[in-house]
Amino acid sequence: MIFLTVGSRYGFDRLVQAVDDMVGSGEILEPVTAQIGMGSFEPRHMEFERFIPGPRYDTRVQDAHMLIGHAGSGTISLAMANEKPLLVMPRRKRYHEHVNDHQVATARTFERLQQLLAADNVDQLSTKFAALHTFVPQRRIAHTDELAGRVGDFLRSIAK
Amino acid sequence: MKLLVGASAGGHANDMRVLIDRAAEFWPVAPVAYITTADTWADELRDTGMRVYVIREADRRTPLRAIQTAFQSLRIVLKERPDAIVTTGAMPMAIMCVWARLIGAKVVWIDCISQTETLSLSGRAVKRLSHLTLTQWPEIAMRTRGVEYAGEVL
Repeated sequence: MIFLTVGSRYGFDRLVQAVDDMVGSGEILEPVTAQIGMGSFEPRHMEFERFIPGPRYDTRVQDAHMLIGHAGSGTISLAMANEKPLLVMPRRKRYHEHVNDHQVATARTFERLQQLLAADNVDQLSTKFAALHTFVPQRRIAHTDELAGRVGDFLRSIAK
Repeated sequence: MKLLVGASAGGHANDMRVLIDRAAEFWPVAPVAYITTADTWADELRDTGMRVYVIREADRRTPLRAIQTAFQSLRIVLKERPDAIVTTGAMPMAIMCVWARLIGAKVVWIDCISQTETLSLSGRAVKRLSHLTLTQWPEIAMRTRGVEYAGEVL
């Protein structure tokens, strides 16, 4: 199963429609389920929900063997935590998909770190999707304790 | 010390979820309340004993909703009277930081992991009033004055 997610804040019709077309044309053979958010395009070739509550969302990610999504950090984080191959396409401001183009940088950065594959636009989805089948994300060590510790040090310094 | 935490839905909330998981180990106090913009994880967060407030989502394209959001967060800040607030963004939380600062609370802004090349617009605004501003990318800290890197959630 492939899980397609565009996050929980906005729709992302450009990606949802492109993936739906790929399922319709037989380019994607596996079943796809999707969280489409506030999008106005309703998929015809895959099961979809608009919002999947947190716990069930995690299960959906765990059950999938590949993920396709927007370049949101929540999506990227879940793929990394579950070691799933992820293909992202960044939201663009010019299509009113986000307030700015920061997802282009997010996609570029995490692709350079070999955590995911990124398609700049729908034209690149096919080749990147083909590559996703053999893509193995790099393991990454996050300094999460250090970050939480720095905040803790600050809070201790102001504690009355 | 009374601590509030806040994060908009999506990546911001995901960052905060990771931090809250470590709060018991690394923070001197547990947050008393959590402010967010969607109730995706609200039930799980309530289970941890925090009060959970869900305020309206807003961004720079929705100024009218931002005003509503501002009133909602003002009410929360006046009710909770925090000594400190820790947030990962975005705009609704930046507004909350302004209110928190006005009642004398200390403000910790952690820019979202998704901001990989420059500090977010909200982060740049809040930097002027925050007491600690963190980025999760060392390169941003190196070229942005007043911004520190200490680690990352992923």
